[in-house]
Amino acid sequence: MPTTPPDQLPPDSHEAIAMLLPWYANGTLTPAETAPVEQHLARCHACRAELGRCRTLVAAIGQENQREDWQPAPDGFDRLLAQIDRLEGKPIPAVTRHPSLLERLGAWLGATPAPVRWTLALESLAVAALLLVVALPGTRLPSDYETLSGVPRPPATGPRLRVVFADAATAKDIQSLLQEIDGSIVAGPTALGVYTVTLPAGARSEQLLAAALGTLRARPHVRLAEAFTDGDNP
Amino acid sequence: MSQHPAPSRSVAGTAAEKTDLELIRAVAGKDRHALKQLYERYAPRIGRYLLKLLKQPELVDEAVNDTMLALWQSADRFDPAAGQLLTWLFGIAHNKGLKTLRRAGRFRADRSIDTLSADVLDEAEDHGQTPQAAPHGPEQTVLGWELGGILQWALEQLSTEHRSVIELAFGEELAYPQIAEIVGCPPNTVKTRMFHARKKLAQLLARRGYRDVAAAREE
Repeated sequence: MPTTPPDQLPPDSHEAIAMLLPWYANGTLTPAETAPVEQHLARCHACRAELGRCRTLVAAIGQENQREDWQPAPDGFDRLLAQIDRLEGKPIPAVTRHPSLLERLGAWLGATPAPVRWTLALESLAVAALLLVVALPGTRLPSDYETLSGVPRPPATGPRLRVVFADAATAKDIQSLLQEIDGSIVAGPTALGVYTVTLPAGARSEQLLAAALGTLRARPHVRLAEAFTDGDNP
Repeated sequence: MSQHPAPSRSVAGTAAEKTDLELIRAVAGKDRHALKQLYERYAPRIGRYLLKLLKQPELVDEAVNDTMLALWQSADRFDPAAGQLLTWLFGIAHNKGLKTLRRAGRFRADRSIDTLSADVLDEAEDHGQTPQAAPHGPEQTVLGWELGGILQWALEQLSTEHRSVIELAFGEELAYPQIAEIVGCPPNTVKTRMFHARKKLAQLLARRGYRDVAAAREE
């Protein structure tokens, strides 16, 4: 082992040259460093042997890296952007305050041409009158059938996720993904295309959530899949 | 190991390849498109290094994103006169990696290479953590799968600070001044760490029947 600290060695000493050999082997020494190393190698058998060992390591680790290449997850960049949005305090889609029904109606009417607006207003009044007649006590028609909306739904108390599907995803793709994770859309899409999906409630909700996130993130039709954290609102 | 498929989404408008400096300046101006280009350029390489540093593939994604997030937040502080963007990014990644290791309770910086005694290594072997070497002759130097597996095992036995120097020099082929900047120590310390790391690596490989691979000579 060298007994002199490396920073006190003369630049052309045997020890100083030996310390540079790993970087001579990986080809990153400057020309000013390379020249004395090569001069020393020409006359030092021990350093030539040492250089051979370094080159073996460069080759072996290089091979190892080729075998174990790493690539980011397909949604890695989208998750980074979501992280940036959270940190910069931008409203993230799922917690964006939704305008009330009246506000939305007002905005929509405001953007509608006047003749159409009056027609719609009259139609709305007619519908409201009809509803009033139907809803008044004693006027309800006997019902012997059940609508789809009347089917009782299990309470949505399972874990929830925020999902953004790719633009290219078709309704069939989305349906198939939801079936795969046993999820149901309970809200969305928001203006930014964010859906809220709930999973079945149960004792294994954490595993279900992790499995669903894994499944969604592995699919090219999904741009973003995130669990709701405690502070999130659906 | 993490083997994510390559991202399928392409970056629009990359007809002309922009330089690192152009991109980092755009990122400093909060250009997300430029950030994506830098992400696609450097995330795979940073992830590969972090995979070696952390040894836990499930931690790599988060550490890579932390690195790129730091790039986003401090791009305006990048000084091209002080070094390359690659070196700067690896420095951030190295620190994020160490932080991740601390959080995961696996940071072993206090175990320098010289304190990694033969007893510890023997204990690792007794617990079946040592891959079985093929029956090579004692002086054999072999490249390929068999050495790859043994080498990976041997690298994982090194302390974080020594493994990082080996990986940055031989895996990422960086110069020692760059490594010094990345790990935050003087250049001569990098050389000394390399010397000790190779010495220990050679001892470990010799135990598995591979000689003449990594030895640093005793002077």
